[in-house]
Amino acid sequence: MSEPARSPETSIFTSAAIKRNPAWVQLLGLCPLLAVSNNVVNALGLSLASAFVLLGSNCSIAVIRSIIPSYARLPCFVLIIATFTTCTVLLLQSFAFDLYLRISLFVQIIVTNCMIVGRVESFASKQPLPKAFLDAAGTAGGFALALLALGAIRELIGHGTLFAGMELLFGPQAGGWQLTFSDNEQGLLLAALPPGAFIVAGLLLGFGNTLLRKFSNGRELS
Amino acid sequence: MVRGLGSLLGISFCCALLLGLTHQLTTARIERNQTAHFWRQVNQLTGIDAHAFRVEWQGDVWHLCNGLALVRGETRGYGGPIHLLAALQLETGQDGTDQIVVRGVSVTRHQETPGIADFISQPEHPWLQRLIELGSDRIGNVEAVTGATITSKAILRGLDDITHYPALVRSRCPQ
Amino acid sequence: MANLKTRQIMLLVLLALFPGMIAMSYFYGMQFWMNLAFASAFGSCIEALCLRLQGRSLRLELTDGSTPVTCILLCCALPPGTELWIIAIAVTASIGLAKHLYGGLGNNVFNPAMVGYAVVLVSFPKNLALWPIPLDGTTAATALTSFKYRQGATVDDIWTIDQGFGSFGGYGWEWINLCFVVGGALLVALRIAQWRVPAAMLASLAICALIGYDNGGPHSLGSPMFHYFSGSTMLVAFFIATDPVTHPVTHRGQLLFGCLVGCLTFTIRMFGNYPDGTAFAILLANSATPYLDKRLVAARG
Repeated sequence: MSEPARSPETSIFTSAAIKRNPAWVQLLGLCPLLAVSNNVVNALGLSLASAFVLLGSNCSIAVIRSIIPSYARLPCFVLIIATFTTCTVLLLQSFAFDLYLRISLFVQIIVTNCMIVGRVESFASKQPLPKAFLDAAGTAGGFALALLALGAIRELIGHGTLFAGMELLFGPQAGGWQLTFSDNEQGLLLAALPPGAFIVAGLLLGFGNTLLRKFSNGRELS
Repeated sequence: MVRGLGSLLGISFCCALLLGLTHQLTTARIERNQTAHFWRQVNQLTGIDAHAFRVEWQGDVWHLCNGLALVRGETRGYGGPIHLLAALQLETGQDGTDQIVVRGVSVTRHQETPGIADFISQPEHPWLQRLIELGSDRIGNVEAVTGATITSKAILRGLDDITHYPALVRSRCPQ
Repeated sequence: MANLKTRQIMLLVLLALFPGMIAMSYFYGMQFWMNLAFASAFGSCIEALCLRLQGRSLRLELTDGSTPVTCILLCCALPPGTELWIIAIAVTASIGLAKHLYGGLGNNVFNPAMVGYAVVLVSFPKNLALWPIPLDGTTAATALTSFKYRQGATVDDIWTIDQGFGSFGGYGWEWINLCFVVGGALLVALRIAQWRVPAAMLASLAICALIGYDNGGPHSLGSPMFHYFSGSTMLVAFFIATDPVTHPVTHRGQLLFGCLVGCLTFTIRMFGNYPDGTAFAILLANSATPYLDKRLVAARG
């Protein structure tokens, strides 16, 4: 059985997003992942902010990688990441002020997210711009996937709703996107509380690993 | 070495430029958002359109000259200081003593853990709604929120502090 | 052979639980037995499903008796008026989450019954707050809740005013606790349960209570007697803390484990957000068990 030959570009993207998924495979950036995933809108806000910082810093470092002196590369990386994080904070404050009030702390600490420094150090600082861009997009996509899955499950179980409060991100017309599955927005409160983050994340991790193992077993057999 | 220093300086300069540019572009909008947010809070707290009143803080108190006073308070939460803004009104009880009644309360700044204790920034949250119409003597009876004990107790403490001085709220406006 | 032994032990535990169950049904009537029947049936279904998914033998493991014991402990902890769907969630969390996700009986880190109870207690605090007062068919807050939120009343005052109090402990639960002591003594005498864990737990609870005791004033934190016979103290001390899978294996470890449970119970009851702290105390102490085991063995070797 011959697999269709995949272009190296697609493989960079899928490998960053799925095979080396920052959250579920490498278990990086768990602090914001667990803390901000109590509903979909917070998760989406944080994944967009992280994606902006990732793309910005990865691309700019890939462009200037030849002039960064290797003895001072980490301070350079941190400086650039911090710049993009601060820009994100300012942009959020000016375009999604109410969402910013809810997740401000975790947007500010994107700067210390080891997922971003890790991608910059091991990939973007050694690769040309297009590849670095794809890698950053894949990593951001993988992180968003993990964050949104956790956010959706926790919101659904914990509050019995989905997409509540989307107007914070997309303007007033998005207020009607909310789906309500329980009478008084009451659910298994535990899922919305911090221990629920750990339990749901653990269950998702186990589920993902089972799927991955089945998938790779099937491949080996064929 | 000189080349390395030069490129470091260049990078720093570019970063500073980017930051400055973003700041320049967003600062007006952010200010507008903050002002709008402030007035929304004040209107929600007092239940009236407060635009008609001049913002005139005397220390931490702003008398609205219709019996209401907005009072700023500060308390220590789990992650740092919590800034409170409360609409208070002086009421005379049956026994003739003055008592402060809470008409509205909101949190203007906090660093509490998102997802756990950041409900305090949502004025429509049932726990914050429970504080409204409470007299200063009954604030101590409110139960803390499960999972956010320190934060909710801090708010109760802060509210308790600012509601204990009737003289503070007594109107200083010309009758 | 090993399985037969598990079954025998579980039968004896069931027997020891019987006095307490009789006392519970005396105070709370048929409702208790209905809950129990539902929980056991539902628990067995969940157990069968989990075993099936793992491809394990239904015949050997479904009949080892551990599921009914877990369900009985759960039903003793939940108020009899609890809705059936809440019981179903609790049972699912006990059997599915705490027992089978950790690898089944013998591999669980946390006590399954307490995991199930904690999950529903955190999620539905209002539904679990009230216990029936059979005299007039109403429900009231438990003695521990009223005691904690008595707002400056002396102990004697609150004792006479509030319905949740009995003659020397919480209403109803004072006798239920006594019956659990009888059953627990049987287990200890038969050496199915370790004596060290309940002894250390009750002793440390009494010491904590004596420290905070000021002869019934407005700030009293309760006498040892009050702590022993209200809430689920005895049930937890003799039937849950003594779960051999989740307490340490060394003797010193068991003493420390019991002390931890006792002190945590007192602390959560008097200073925490929940009126009865036993479930959380057990779970916290459970999570310390691997450390206690490793640490004490290493110190000796």
